[in-house]
Amino acid sequence: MRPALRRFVAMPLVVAIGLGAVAVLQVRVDRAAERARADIEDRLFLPNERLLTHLTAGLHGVVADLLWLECIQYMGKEFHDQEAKFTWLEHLSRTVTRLDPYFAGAYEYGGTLMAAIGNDDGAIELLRQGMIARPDRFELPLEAAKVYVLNRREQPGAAAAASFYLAYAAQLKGGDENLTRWAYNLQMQHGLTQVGREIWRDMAESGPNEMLRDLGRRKLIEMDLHDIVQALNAAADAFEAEHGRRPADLQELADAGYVRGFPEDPLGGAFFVDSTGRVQSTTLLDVQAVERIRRLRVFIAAFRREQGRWPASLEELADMGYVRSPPRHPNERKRFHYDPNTGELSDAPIAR
Amino acid sequence: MPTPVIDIDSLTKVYPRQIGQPARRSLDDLRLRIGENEIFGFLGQNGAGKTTTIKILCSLLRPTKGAASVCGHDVRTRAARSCIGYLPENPYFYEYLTPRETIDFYGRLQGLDKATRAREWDALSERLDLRGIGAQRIRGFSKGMRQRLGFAVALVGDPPVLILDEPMSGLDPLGRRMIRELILSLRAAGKTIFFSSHVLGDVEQICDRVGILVEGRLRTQGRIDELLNRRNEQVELVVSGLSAETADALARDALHARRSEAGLHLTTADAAAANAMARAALSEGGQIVEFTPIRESLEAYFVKEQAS
Amino acid sequence: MTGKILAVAQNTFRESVRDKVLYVLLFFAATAILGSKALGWISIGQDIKIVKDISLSAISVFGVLIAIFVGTNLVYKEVDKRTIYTILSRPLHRFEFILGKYLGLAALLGVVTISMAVVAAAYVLTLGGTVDTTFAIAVALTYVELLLITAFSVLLSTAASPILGALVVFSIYVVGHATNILIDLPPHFDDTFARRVMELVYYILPNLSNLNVRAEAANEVAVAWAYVGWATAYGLFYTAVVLALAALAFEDKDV
Repeated sequence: MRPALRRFVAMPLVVAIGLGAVAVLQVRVDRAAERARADIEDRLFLPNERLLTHLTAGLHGVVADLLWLECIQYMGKEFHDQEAKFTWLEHLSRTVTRLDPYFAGAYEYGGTLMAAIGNDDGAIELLRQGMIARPDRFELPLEAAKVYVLNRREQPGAAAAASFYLAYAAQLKGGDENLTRWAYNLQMQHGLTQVGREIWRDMAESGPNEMLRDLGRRKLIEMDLHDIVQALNAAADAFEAEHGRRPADLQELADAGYVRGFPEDPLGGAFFVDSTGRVQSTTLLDVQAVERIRRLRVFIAAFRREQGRWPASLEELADMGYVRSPPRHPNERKRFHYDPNTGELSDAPIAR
Repeated sequence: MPTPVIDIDSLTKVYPRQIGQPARRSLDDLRLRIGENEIFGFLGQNGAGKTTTIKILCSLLRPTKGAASVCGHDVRTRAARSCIGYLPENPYFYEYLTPRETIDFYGRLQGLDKATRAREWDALSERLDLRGIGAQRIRGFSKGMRQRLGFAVALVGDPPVLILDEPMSGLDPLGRRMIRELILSLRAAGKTIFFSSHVLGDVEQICDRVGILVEGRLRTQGRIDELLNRRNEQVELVVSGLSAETADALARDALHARRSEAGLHLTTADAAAANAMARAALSEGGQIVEFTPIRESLEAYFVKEQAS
Repeated sequence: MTGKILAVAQNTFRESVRDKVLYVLLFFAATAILGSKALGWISIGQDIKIVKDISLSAISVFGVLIAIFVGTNLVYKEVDKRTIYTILSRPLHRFEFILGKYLGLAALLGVVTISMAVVAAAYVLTLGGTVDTTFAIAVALTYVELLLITAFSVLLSTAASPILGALVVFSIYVVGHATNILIDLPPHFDDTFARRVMELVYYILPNLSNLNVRAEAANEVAVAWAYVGWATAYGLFYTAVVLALAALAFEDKDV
């Protein structure tokens, strides 16, 4: 072959034919991949999140792992922090599962952790996505069922939803008798509380790591506290029936012989009678406060997005119609601390 | 001339322009024919285009214009390359191989089977005295050892044509002599040898013919004596033990004369005049200390050629 | 013909095995694989997944680095050290030389990939995990990726200095993993000329994410055989095209 021929005919020919054929093959690869991936991607991805995956030079799995570890460490730190905010948990676990859509553990424990801080909407959303990406893993519907049992027990239909997810989980590989029993109990109209207690005990005894076992133990204690508060309120109701007024404090209740001694809170909280005469647990109110702060932050962020500034006060949030009434701390002896300069909200004074 | 073994037909090579460097014409319309069993010396100063020519013959470079053939095959074909044994200037081989492995490797590139390659090693290691270092890595080899190995590699497959680029450069006198003898023995074995050099001394003792390349053009070619006008060579004569008058008389007849510790230095126009002067000195009771033909160096030739 | 290619390939293998860069990179790869457990222990039961992720990525990343650093030197070094003179003046085609150099490095990368994969698999098994078909598929497709990257390295090695070549091939590696950007465009690109151009570019650029099923392997998700087949065909065909270009580019090169 003459050099000129080679340079001006053969090389362009190889380039044209070669790349043409390469393009045809790419179409086939995409078509073959479509069946597996399109389903997941269309539901999971937003365009900007896809970019992240593409820019990791094929290392998106490892980047997901590292973010996941970051997420766990973040949670571990926040759990021991009085000012726990958990602001980034939802975002982190969402990013992790975008980077590695098959990461079953991230859906599962992301859901668990989000539910534990009271973000049951986020947890359910993440777990639903997980069930689309990993229809083979029983842990994901099980987690979803737990969220209905533990977080949404007051909502109508929670038992039905939980029972549905448990039955689904029980059919998948690895689902054990516990699931079937829980599902059965739910269908037999056993209280959600009872099933919830079983789920937490299961986690406290055989959770996969210390943080989750701790969480299980804590939640069991919270359920005990809940029972104690209910019993104390029943006693207060009996006191009211007899004396025509609510007891002023627990001492009065004890002196009148309605309770034998004062119960203790292993988590270090206390019981008290509030201004309406209802018995409360400071620990349970704190849990509620965390939940309320999380929801308020969403509204504060929406205010900022739409108004271009932070609300001047929590009252303004109500005046502008973002919330129905001015937000109050669930514990009447405490109040929210809000910083209008930064939009930060906390239930302890914000450090300057 | 019968059919030439190497036929170079109006070769031109222009190195294309590169960043910071204009296009450079290295060879310009070179025509050269080398017959069978000839030793051809290809002379020229550094940069004259000798290596370019050799690389074109070995199809390492493509000519800009013109063509060349070896054993009747165009140099771009594999058939031409299988006729050529090539020794580059300062040959380099894989440093981590031993000479034995190196010969085997080139045997495989030549397409030789295993038994033939083993025979090649036996023959070549004997001929080039590589047996003692056959299992050593090339990494620690001296210049002379490398040159011997280079020759052995060039001879793998017993090619009829040998193309040697500066085969004697950088060698000590013993090494040069060895290469000279080797080249002569290869000619005796029927090979055609084309070698380049910038040192006249290497060439004149063994070459049948030389070509002289100046700045990419062939200035002249032919027998070396004719080219350098060897018959009209000046001779320097050194005599001692002469009387002052005799010395003065001889000095007058010489082209040039001077005195030194050794005696009287006389330069004559040619060998005949020198002989006459020597006879005169001897008859006057003097002694001949030295009788040296003043050979024209290649450098002087180039200077002369370029002046003309 | 095959004998001559094999001779060059064997020599290239022997030469590359002696390259110190290889051992430095292998050391880092082994450290990454064996050290991955350290990250795994705080991961709430995800340690096997993380070990697999890091091992498979280490095979890919360090394999690619070897392919780039050794590959972009392959032909260049022969020219630079002038060993090429005595080789190309032999009766062999220049494409045989290119192919031999390529196959020698490809064989070395095969050995490297398999040994790293065996170490990773043994490690996963000792940690109590399982090694399934998808893991093997991920390793195999990673090797196809290395074959393609090596072909690019050889192409660049015939034309450019090792540093420039390494930069170009590394860019090809990064871009090759990001080509999906070109078709994941926001909706306002629909029916525009820019979109058609980018789609065309997408189909032409080497798509290395085709050959990346490492996330699937780490999560033990099955991969369809049809996908494996088409992706392999894609990778090998693209490799052949790049090698053909390398051979053509080298055919008339002055050395």
